[in-house]
Amino acid sequence: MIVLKKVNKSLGGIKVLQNLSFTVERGKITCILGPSGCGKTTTLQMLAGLEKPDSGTIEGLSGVQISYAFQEPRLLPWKTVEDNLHFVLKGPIPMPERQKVIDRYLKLMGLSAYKNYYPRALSGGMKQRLSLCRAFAFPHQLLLMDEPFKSLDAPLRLTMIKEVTKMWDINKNTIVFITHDVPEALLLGHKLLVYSAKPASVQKELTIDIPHGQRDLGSKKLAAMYGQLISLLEKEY
Amino acid sequence: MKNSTWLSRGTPLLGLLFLLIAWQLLANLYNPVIVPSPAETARALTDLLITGRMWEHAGTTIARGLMGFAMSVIIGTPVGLLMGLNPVIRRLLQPHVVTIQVTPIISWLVLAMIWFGFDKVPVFVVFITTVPLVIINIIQGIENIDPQLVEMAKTFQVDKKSLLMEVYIPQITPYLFAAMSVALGTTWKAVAMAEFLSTSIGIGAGMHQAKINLETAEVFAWTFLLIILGLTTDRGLQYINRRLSGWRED
Repeated sequence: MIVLKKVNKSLGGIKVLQNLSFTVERGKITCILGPSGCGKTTTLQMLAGLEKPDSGTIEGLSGVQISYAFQEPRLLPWKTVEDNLHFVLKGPIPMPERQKVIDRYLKLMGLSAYKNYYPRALSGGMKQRLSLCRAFAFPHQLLLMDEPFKSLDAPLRLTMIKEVTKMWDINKNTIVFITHDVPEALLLGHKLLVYSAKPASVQKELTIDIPHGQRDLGSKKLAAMYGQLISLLEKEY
Repeated sequence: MKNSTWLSRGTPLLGLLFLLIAWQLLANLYNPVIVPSPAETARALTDLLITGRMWEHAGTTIARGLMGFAMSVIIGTPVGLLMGLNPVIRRLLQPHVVTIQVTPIISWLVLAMIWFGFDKVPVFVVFITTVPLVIINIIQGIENIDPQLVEMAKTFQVDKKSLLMEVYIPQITPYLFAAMSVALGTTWKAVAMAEFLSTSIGIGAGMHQAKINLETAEVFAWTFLLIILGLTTDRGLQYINRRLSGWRED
């Protein structure tokens, strides 16, 4: 469990986070929802250890291995699909096993047939899928995902959400997922944290205990949550 | 389709034919000392080949040119890398690189004759005129790296050696090849010029001898050899470049 208590953070003289407190539960997906530029990425950077809080504490991070899914695929253009995975995995996983891990994740994401392709030959969705493969295959106790589907169109986004839930069903890993897209949060999150505008703090916390496979955005419960979340977010603009 | 291939292959040959005709016409108008004919040039070339002078001179020129060129790549690449990656080293060395680059070749030539004795002059001149090109291109390659890729590597705790070998080196490779292509063009010009002024052997020296003897056809023959040398090495470089950069094509 990771606990943030009264975290404050300013960047370039602007207060970004104010008295931010929440907990990330082990083996659950925590979604952070909020208006653009409200400090969601800063929160993630603090969880990754790339930024330190000005005041307040973050507990439960020491010795926690972290993996990261970026907004962009961030693939090395001169390495094949497979070698992009070898590049980050060769540190933590030694060889005969590494190949098995890579093959397994490529298969899960439907990329096995493309393992010798260079990124430029892949579509946008395939690149993002490879980036997800990398994030999931890299050994971790905490996976940070920073709006990884921001640049994808709606149908592809839904497919990718299914991929993430599929991976989570296998690994049951701890995920912190940032998004400004309400349906994405409803389909993925076990816990939803709604940020206020800058300086951000958690203005509302919701939990969803429906299994991923049974979530239907048209259902009464999720539709009601959708309306509630939209009005909370609208207020912040 | 067949037609267009024929055309695209035939056009350069046609251009060459026009050049030869124009050359022949000029040769008809002027004394052979001013403009030797294609036939006279070919004869001079054959003479050089038969007497063995061609290999004696051209071999030395090639060795000197490649030596200077290799030195500039071997020294320029790590220097460029260090300058690109470390701002302090860069600020320290930048003025020197710029100064070397803007110093006229003739100054280097004269200084090299004073400093090194004559036989090393061509190698030094090639090195000193091409090394700034390599350094500046490598720095540019590093500057143009996608910072998000470096951040990605650091987030996944990739070690420094892999970061250098698998991120920075592939990133600078196309820039290095661009620099090498320009540098090779300069190499053969610089080496011949240095030989002309400072040595008794080499294509430049051969041209000097031919000029004294008023053998203009031989000057043409040496020039022809230099052009062939430039074209061949550039093609070779492009071939290696294509083999190495498969990831940029489909």
